[in-house]
Amino acid sequence: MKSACCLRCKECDAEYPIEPRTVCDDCFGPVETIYDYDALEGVVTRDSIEAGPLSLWRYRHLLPIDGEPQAGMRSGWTPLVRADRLAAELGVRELYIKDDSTNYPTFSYKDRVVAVALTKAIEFGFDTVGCASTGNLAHSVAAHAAGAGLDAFVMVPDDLEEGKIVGSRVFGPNMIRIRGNYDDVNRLCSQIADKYRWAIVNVNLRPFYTEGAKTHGFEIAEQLGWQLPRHTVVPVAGGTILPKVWKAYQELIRLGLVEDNGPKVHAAQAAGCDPVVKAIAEGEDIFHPQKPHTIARSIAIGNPADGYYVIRIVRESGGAAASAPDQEILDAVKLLARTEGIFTEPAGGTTLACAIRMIESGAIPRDEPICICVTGNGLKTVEVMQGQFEQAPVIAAKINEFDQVVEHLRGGKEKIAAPA
Amino acid sequence: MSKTRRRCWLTFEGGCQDEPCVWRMARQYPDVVFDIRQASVSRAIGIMALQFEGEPDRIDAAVAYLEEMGVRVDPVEGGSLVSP
Repeated sequence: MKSACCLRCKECDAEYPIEPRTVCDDCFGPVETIYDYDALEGVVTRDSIEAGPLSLWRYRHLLPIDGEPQAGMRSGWTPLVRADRLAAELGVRELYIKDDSTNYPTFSYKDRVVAVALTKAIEFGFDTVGCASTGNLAHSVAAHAAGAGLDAFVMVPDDLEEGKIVGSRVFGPNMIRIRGNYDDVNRLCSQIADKYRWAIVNVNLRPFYTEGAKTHGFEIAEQLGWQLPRHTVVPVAGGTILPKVWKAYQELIRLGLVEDNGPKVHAAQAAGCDPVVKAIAEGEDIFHPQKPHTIARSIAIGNPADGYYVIRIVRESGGAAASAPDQEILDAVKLLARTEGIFTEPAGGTTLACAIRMIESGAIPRDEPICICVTGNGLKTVEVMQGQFEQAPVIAAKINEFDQVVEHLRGGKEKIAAPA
Repeated sequence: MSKTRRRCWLTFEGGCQDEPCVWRMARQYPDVVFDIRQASVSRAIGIMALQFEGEPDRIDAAVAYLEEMGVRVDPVEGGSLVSP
């Protein structure tokens, strides 16, 4: 069953067939995958989805593939954690973490978009795939390409953290380090996509790639018992996931699978790279590109491809936006780990830190359900946490020294049993 | 040399949004044809989608001239790409 019927320009509504295309020929606006919802009504039901695999492919009829999935057979279906301990710390009633730090196989939400993009690349007949990446996307493209037997080229900024380089290279892609930041890499990849006959997933497969991000939103709704959270806080990097979580919610409403409870989506960025947040705060439709300077490197995109649509959707949904400085981001990483046992990378810390700001400002009411989207795993970026903890005590292998250190750590509250 | 087409996004900010940069480029490079496909301008920033047509080295020179005036010029991401 083919669900997607065409590509349509988001600006001028010109329509194109399903093909590797990013922009409209008339106005250069981005194109988006369009579905025949009338045909899907009654076919895509709660039951039909629940009978599907425990992966993102349970939503395959709302994804732009023609045949069987070719990649990411175990990607998606990550936990939605009811975060009561964190909720108590923040003074909110009902809080959830959508935890893509556990996504398979490379522990970030990118495994969703790449699963769809590579399936589409294979359908189009490409044998080489690639991407511009801040790290997580490179991991995912490299891993999925290895699994699918495709040649891969991953292009990354030359100052990328060592851990993120290893996390790609182990899968055997061609890695090219580009002098400059992500925006420079992305700009080069636009030219590569035009010159080489490769599928650059976030360039010429972008209309299909981005659709994979909808599954993050579909899962939130299904895991909440086919309900939408009133508030969803989403990090903004290139601007892919926030509009697609919104699109997922709107599709579920359109198909009658959830009730329209007026969901609001809120944008989170690091203060060192917050072009979208600034535009929203200033009431502008267009953001000013920035030179990123933040520890949240995986979301340090100063010229977000879909930033304009993030601004539009945050406004349309009645949402808010916030940015947080680096130390608050690190504190939020520690808070989430300490209260819920979830170790996220700084991108996830950014989302939580910004959620806290929006709760404290009243933009997100304390008594309404809130979902915070965690999109990546902290074990990939342990170096940013260096210096965040006191040195652990070192003692001799003697029980009396252990007794003393426990007493010290627990402030003298520990009762030590007398030796028999 | 054969003529070519190039599609670009122009961003005007930091002062150059108040200057007639595109007019100046047209005067300086009359052999580079340009076609404005869409534009959005506010007080602080302007964005314009432009298609250039001309000899490649003349387009390069016109783009460099715009950049000298403070205009940011980005290539439009891959349009349609015929799959192999």
